[in-house]
Amino acid sequence: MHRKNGQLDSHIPIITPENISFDYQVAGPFRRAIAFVLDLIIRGILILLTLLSVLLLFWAIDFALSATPFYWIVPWFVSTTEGALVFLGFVGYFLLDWFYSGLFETYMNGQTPAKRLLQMRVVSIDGQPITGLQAIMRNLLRYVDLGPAVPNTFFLADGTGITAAIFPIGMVGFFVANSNSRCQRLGDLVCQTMVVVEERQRAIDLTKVADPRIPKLAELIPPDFVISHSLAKAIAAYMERRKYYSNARRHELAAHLAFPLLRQFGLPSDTSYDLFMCALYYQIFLSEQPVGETPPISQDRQWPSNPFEKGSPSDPLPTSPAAKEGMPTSPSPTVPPGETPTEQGTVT
Amino acid sequence: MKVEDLIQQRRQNWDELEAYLAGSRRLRGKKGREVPLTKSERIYNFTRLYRAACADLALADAYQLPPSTVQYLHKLVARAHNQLYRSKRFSTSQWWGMLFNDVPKLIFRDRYVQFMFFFFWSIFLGSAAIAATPELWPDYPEHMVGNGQLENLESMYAEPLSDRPTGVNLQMVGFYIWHNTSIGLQCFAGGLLIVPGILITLFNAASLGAMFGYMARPDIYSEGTQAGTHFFEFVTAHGPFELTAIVLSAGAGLRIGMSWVHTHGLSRRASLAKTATETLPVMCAAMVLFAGAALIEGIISPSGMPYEFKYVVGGLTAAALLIYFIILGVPRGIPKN
Repeated sequence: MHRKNGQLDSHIPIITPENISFDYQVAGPFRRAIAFVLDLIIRGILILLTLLSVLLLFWAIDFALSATPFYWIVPWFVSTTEGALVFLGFVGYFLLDWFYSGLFETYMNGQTPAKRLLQMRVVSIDGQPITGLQAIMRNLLRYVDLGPAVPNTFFLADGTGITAAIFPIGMVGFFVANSNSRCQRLGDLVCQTMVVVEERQRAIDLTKVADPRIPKLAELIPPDFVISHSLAKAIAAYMERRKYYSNARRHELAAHLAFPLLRQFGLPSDTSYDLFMCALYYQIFLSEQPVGETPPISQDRQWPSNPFEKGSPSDPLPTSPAAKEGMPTSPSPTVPPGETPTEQGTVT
Repeated sequence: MKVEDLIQQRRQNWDELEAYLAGSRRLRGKKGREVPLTKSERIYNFTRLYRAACADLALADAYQLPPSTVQYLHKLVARAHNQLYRSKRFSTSQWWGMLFNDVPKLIFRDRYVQFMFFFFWSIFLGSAAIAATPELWPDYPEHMVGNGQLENLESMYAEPLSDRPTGVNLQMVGFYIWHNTSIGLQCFAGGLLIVPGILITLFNAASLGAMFGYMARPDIYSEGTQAGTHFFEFVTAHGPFELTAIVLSAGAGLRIGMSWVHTHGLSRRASLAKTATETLPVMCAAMVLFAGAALIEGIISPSGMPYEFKYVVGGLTAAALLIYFIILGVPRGIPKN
């Protein structure tokens, strides 16, 4: 599962033992840094709460006893209870300090509170959930990932400095995470874990095509024309992004695919490229798969007037001069009939 | 069939699965009413929906689903997979066997623990020897641990040890658990990069040695307040556990770090991963020792019990460690590999 040369995004393919294959999106260092800071704050609040509750309990016991006739027992009792509570405070602080993330990741299925908020999860690199051992270990080793620590020196007015605190700057983890394809820091490398994004995404509906000309144009696409997967993907990608483009840009992008196909189908070359893409989309995704007989379209079919000449479905706009001349703006040589120019059509 | 209709039809399944992922315990009934479900019904439904979504994803190409829908399905299936398969928690039943069977054997033949043992003790004793002879380098302890801490140490042990209130004892137990185990964990984690681990161990050994040596100086040990005598009385009982625990954590950390270097034929990554699973139990044993040491240090060491008793406690803990490492650790029977 090495990063292919072509991989630009952070998707990691997973094949589970049941032979289910899906992609995980790996969480990058910056997203994780935010989660870490958030966890730090939550941990700080928890530690404060632990100490506060210890203090309050102590006061409450002291107060309750001092009002009773058993006041004589107080000095011994209070000192012992105080000791026990301080003991709990120390042990609680120790556990929160070193095992906060590890325990949460074990008992919350790979998530800490901040990871849940930011929709991330720790999983093994083979896609399986992590074990308690992995969770504890990867979080103990964060001590190294947070390094190196730099002394923080405040300079005083008279030129002398005070080294006040030592701050870990986290560069080890940052550089290690950036040097491998799964964004694993050292602790992840040791435990064979990775952090994945687990975002909720809304299912995107198919793009609606309202223009009445589109089904008519789609009928003119020859029924024996086999639409390959890559062509269908390219057209779907175009249609999903289409609403962000201006008409001129749509025309420019659609030309790569529409111009050779129009020629292949023998449709007039001044057909709006965008409209033609919509028709292809309609044909692939929104219509019944063509089974009926449509009259074969010959190369030399004459068109008295082209009803699909102008305008994109949403906004009628005169086709650009280049299209009027039948020449696309970008190089797209004539394609031999029967060959689908899918490579040129991948508009991304 | 139209792709649009196909997506519409499947959408119902996906939405239902989404509802389960969002934690819903109800399912839309036939007349659009929400019906509460039993746990087994929920599990049954969830797995059914998950399988259906997996099938949809697998057949996405054949169905000619558009890329955005495929991407949605990837995320849906990944989330459902993580919902279905939960993290494995600790199996406490194995802990006993691990602690008393695997770990001693591992430690017994662990060259890194042995190295750390000699490293720690030679630095410790060397530092103590330098600090104990004022003619050699009078300011050495001050350089190592600072003047303030030395005075603090001297005044702490100025009085003979006497019984403290139970509360203070408990308090100190908590403090020692936090403080000492944190140092041990730092030694362990720092070992991953070898140098930090060795440096942390070196620093701790040298400063501990400086303190011990300083307290053994004739003017502090026997003359004046006899702070040294009290100090050594204090450290006898918990010393074996505490120092062994530090050596163990540093050795376990060094072992992870050295697996970068000695890969034993594996790739560096695989070697690292293999070693990590072996060393965490050793660190667990070290943490148990730290906790034990904290109990002794908080309750027995500072008490007014006779010195002989503390001496016996120190001897017994040392003997227990020897039994643990040697008698439990010697490989017996047929070696596994």
